[in-house]
Amino acid sequence: MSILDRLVLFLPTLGFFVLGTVILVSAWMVGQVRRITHAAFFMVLAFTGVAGVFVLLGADFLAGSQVLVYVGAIAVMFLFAIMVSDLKELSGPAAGSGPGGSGSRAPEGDGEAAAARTAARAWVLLAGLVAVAFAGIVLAAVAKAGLPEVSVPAASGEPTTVLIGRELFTKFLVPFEVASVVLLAALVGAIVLAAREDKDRGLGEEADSGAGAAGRRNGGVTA
Amino acid sequence: MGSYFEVLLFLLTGVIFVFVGLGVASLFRPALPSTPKQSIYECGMRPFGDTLGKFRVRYYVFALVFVVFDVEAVFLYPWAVVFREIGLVGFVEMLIFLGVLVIGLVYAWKKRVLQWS
Repeated sequence: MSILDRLVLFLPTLGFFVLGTVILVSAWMVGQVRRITHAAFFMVLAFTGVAGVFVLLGADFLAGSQVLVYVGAIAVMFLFAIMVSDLKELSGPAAGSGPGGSGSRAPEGDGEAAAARTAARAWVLLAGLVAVAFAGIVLAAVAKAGLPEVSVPAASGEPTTVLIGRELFTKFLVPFEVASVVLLAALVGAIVLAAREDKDRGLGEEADSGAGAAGRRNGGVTA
Repeated sequence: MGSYFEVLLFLLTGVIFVFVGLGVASLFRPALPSTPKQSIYECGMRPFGDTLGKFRVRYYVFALVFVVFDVEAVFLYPWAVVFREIGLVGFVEMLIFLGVLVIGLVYAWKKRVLQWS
């Protein structure tokens, strides 16, 4: 076996570790960056890394749909969610105090600061507990699942799209049809949200000109 | 794994194309920046106001509708590939799936969400 052959065999392992590093670092950055839009884009990078892992596993259809749904649609949804939320309210007074470390999110008063810090510590503790519990559930599930040594597409040689289609429309028919109901729920929820906003606008009639201006501006772009 | 070599080749060609094109151009073009040249153009009006401003929730509906029909499109791919194999049963299955989503579309239509006010 020549050096080159060894190198080619080593490539998937190398790719896995590179992609894993990209995913972990960008997922960590989502929580670290101050600007929420940057956080969204780091999340997109993590999604893209997952698509790369799917490619390494030989699951090309999954990789394609990961890009189409997560990098495409879910990312757009998150960016739109950021757009329609009041960012000034979200970032709070800390946004005006200029650049600072991640620790400067707590207000720097005297009496309030201590209370805010204890509250923040309680939330961190709670979040840590939830994270540990979730990790425990996931690890238990993975341990119980008994993962196969060889991936299915590599074993049969058929395109993954055929395999997924065959399974989806026979064995997993009920989950597939339930998915349409879940999508319907999302659609109806969004419509209800929009209808409520229209009612609020009818009462307030261009209460904040910023929203109206933003709407007109974006309307010009999409037209 | 072999077929991904072409993907890698496309990726590399794309990156090289951009960098060589812009790099060579930067060697020969004159650099005389001015305010109108550096302003945003081609895409609608000149931006004004705060970019952190709140947009209308109505836009979020478009994003969600896009997500829903994007996911639907992903399900259509494996269905189309195995269509001959699963035959009429598969056709009816997909009709039910699409029918449920059409209910949502009709609801959106009735609620005038798709109409620009």
